[in-house]
Amino acid sequence: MANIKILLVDDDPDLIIAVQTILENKGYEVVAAYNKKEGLELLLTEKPDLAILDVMMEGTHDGFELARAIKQIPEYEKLPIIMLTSVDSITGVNFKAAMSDPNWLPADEYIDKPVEPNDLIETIEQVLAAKADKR
Amino acid sequence: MRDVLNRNRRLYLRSLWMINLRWIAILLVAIITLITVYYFRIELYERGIYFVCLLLALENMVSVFFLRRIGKVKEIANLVNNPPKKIKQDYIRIKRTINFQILSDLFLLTLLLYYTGGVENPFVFFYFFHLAIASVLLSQKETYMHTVVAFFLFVILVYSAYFEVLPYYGLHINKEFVDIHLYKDSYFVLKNTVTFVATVFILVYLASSIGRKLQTQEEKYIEALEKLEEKDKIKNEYVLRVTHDVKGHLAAIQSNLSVLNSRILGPLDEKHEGFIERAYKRTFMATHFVRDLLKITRLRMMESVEGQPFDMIRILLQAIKDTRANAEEKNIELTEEIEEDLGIVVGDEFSILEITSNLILNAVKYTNENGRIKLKAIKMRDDVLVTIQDNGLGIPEDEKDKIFEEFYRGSNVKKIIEDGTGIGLAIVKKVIEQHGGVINVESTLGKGSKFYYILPKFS
Repeated sequence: MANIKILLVDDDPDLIIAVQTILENKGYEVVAAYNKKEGLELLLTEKPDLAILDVMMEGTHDGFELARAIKQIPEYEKLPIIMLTSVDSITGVNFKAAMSDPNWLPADEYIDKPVEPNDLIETIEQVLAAKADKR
Repeated sequence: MRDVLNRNRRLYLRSLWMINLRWIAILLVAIITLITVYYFRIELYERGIYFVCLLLALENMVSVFFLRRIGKVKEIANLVNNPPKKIKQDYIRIKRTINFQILSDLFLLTLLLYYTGGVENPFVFFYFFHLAIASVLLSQKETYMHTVVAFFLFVILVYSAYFEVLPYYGLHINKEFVDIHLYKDSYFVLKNTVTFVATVFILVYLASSIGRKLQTQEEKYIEALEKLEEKDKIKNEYVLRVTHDVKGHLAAIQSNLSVLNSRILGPLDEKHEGFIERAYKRTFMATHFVRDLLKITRLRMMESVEGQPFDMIRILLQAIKDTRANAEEKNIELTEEIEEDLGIVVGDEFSILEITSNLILNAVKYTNENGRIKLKAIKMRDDVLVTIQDNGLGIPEDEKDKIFEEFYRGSNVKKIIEDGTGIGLAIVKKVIEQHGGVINVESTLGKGSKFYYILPKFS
């Protein structure tokens, strides 16, 4: 577990602390960014194995845009992405539907906020296992 | 713009109503003629009367053709697809159809009266009906124009007979009929003409004043309704904004509390444990409430549902799969009986999946351990019927109608189950209705409830 690095992007520092604690407690290495730009920079310097992205940051679809930008970089085309969402929030995006179109939302899974430790860990393990199977 | 659209719709429907009445009138004229001639043995100029019936039918067909060219009533009342120019054009065209109908009716009524005794015919006052309709549907100017036309037609009818300009077709009763030739009686003709003029103008004045008042009132109501809708929209947007912000804070609080509450950082101090657990529980409930509030507000703001055709069986089986673990936790037996080839429904399959799961989870919540829940789905001719039956707490008889209202919770469950928001069933109802369906419940207190919803099939 120690060699798995997770990129966490969210504009709410209080939420980042909570998620970071849960992940580090489970042995993951976490690098955190607070917006789309920082997230992209950290991606290139830290080379994470998985990304967890908040959907609404400065812009209502920043998370979507970041996910699409990541998938366009050949090296990270296959990087597993988990969206951290307020599904029933202002945008009204239906994530199950959005994820069925990889061009619209190229994510592997989504977790509805608030984050529950067990759900988060379980989702990460599932996504990583699915990725390992594909290889 | 909506008031003009509503006016268009109203006038269009009235125009159709007039066409339907005219078909009935044609039939009645033909039947009355037959009865008059063959039962009462009154001689009539039948050929003339049937000729008028034929002209009336022709008028109806022309009117239907005009209306069809304007469009269907649904298209006319559609605010989204109708640009203001088209709405105005439709209005003029519908009014033209009504004017055509009333004018033709006045002419044909005169012709009918001409063939059936003119001023001697007791039905001579039938002109009033058309003018009353005109007063309600048309402008005052148009109505008075029709009144003047009616007046001239009446004068031509009675005085052409009086001065013998045209051949007279009278009502002759057998051979014993005493021909008193009222149409030649100057006093009778003048008396009838004066009465006709006075009555017709007073009638039109009264009817059009009342009609105008009603119209102004209707316009005011529509205006008030529009204002209310606008305010409701602002309120919904406000609720959405506020709730969304609150949800952000709650998400951060709950996520942080969950780190402690899940004990992943180690056991909690006994003194602090209770406080953390209570705080976590209440935050959990608040998040749940805020989430439901967001959902119902968004549904309220949605005018219609977009979606694709989907297989109803797949959605129902998925709902069962998603909720089975919750049922098993309480050792509740969750069974299904779904008819094969249930059908295709059009809409948002994720919403239908969610509300079906919600209905099952609701049943789980309000059913005691070791209970039973059954999902049953049957196909009907045009619909799909889904029932979710449990042997749980049930709903008091006088509360059944209220449980789909927002923020309402059954009095018998409030104390037992704390974490209901009172919005869940309102969301279910809204989603079903947006898909063109209906939802209802049958329930016996203490014995269980049966929720059922019907969704139209895709054909």
